[in-house]
Amino acid sequence: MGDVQRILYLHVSVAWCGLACCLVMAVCAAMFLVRRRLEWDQWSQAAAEVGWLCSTLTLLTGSAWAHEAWGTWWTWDPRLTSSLILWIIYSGIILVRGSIEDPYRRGRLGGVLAIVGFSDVPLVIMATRWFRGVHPVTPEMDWSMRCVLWACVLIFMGLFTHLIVRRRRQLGLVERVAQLEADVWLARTGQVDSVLVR
Amino acid sequence: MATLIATYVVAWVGIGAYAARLIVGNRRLDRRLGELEAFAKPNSHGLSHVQNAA
Repeated sequence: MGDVQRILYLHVSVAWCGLACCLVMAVCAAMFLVRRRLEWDQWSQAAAEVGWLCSTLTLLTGSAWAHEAWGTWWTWDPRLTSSLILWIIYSGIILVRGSIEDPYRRGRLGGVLAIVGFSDVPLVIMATRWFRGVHPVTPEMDWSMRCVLWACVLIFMGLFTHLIVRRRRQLGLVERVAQLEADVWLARTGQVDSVLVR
Repeated sequence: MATLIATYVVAWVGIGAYAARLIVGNRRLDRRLGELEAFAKPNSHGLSHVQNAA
């Protein structure tokens, strides 16, 4: 395939990161449902957003690969279809979260969706083994290519972990600013005597 | 080769756009939080700006 085979390093890395984000999202959602602490919901939301980014990139890079390898941008292969379903699940969770104002209600509904949505991950992983399709199970490659692939996976894992941490911090800041603005507004209108800096 | 370059460009533009949105959003929120905390903190008389205004 020539130079185009290098898409593999990006495609496999973002695909694995997308699946890992789904695991983080579901675990944090379960923790929120058990503990009822908003921090867990913020971790879950951050993982959902970064997971959506990874899932989108997986479909785009996979499509480019498919065009070169199979001569088509898209085919209803089991692995491709289950990956598309994962992307739809991520999109649905983000849309539902964006439509609910109350943070605890948003966390509960988003959490349930995240846990249910995680059931697609085993299907994505096992799709090439359980069903017949054109997507390779594990592509055969030279050990040097395998080393580069592992390095890419680790680097992208680090990058996306950093993005999740930054996004979770941002969600915490949004909540704190909203709380302080409400306190200041109440103090200005004389409904409370002072503003407490938490 | 064009497909390879286009794929990598699209991927990095996507990741870069998300990272840039995070950086800009965090800066704006940090600034707003600083303003609010300065407004709410007590001054040398033990009163916050809000209490003075009240």
